Amino acid sequence: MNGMSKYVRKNDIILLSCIAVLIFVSFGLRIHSMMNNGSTIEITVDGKVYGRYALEQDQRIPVEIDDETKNIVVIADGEAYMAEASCPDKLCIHQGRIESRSQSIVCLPNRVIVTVVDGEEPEIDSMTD
Amino acid sequence: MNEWHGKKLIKQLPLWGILVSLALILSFIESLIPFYFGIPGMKLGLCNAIVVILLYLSSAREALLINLCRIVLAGFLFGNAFGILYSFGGALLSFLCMWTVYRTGLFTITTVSIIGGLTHNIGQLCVASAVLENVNIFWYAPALMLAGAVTGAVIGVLATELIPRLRFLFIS
Repeated sequence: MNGMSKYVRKNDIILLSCIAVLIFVSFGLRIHSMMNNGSTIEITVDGKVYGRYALEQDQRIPVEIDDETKNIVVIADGEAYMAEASCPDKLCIHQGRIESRSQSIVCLPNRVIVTVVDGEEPEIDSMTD
Repeated sequence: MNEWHGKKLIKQLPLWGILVSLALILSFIESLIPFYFGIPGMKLGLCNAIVVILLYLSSAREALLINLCRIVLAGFLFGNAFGILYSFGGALLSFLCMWTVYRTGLFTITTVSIIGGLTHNIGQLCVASAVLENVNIFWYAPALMLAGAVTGAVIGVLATELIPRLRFLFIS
């Protein structure tokens, strides 16, 4: 095969380089959008807005679906994280803390999404612990 | 269906059964390995090895058929209905892309697999953003693409080694 690997040849390198550039650019865009810290988090359930909460205020937000607390979102030190979830995989809890604009935590089983938004003032005043 | 087709189908069925079981076992192994680095939806994609191998040794139709059977079964066994939906999105997009790249005949097995891994994650994200009615989850796209490309490369090397060794199975 005159020195050419059976895994990657010239064509592949061209195509894969293009893809690598694409991935780098998308990482760049993501980092760019992360420059601005958001001020508010928006919780949506099933695509509908459940509530907006200021990141400045430390609080514990239970997300109730059908009168059952499915998830608990906690805001502490300007960051939000999922503290509890009723789903078995707990992936949302592992997603860690968010603080930058358009970062999000997703709980697929309960269809709960927490997103950092620019938000002016929170629409709903929330309870504080 | 004429007699020839019927005989051919009967000859193929046991192999399909074995392949679906094999894919199912790989799905199971994958569900056991906690392969998690802070990105939701990240997987090793062992089953993609079967799709790639079938694409090269058998036919695109068979590769798709076996994978769809695997998704439905694995979804009910180890996941949930939404999991099946996400997997379908990923599987269909990655299959279409892999098939296109394969059909050009310009690229190696590894590249086909990398394209598959990468687009599988994109397909899943598309379905997830449609189901959740949220575009913000595309925030994960770069990391998922990178992860898909890396796992795709691993699976691609595996498939490159396996394909010549498994060719005897498909010679009829």
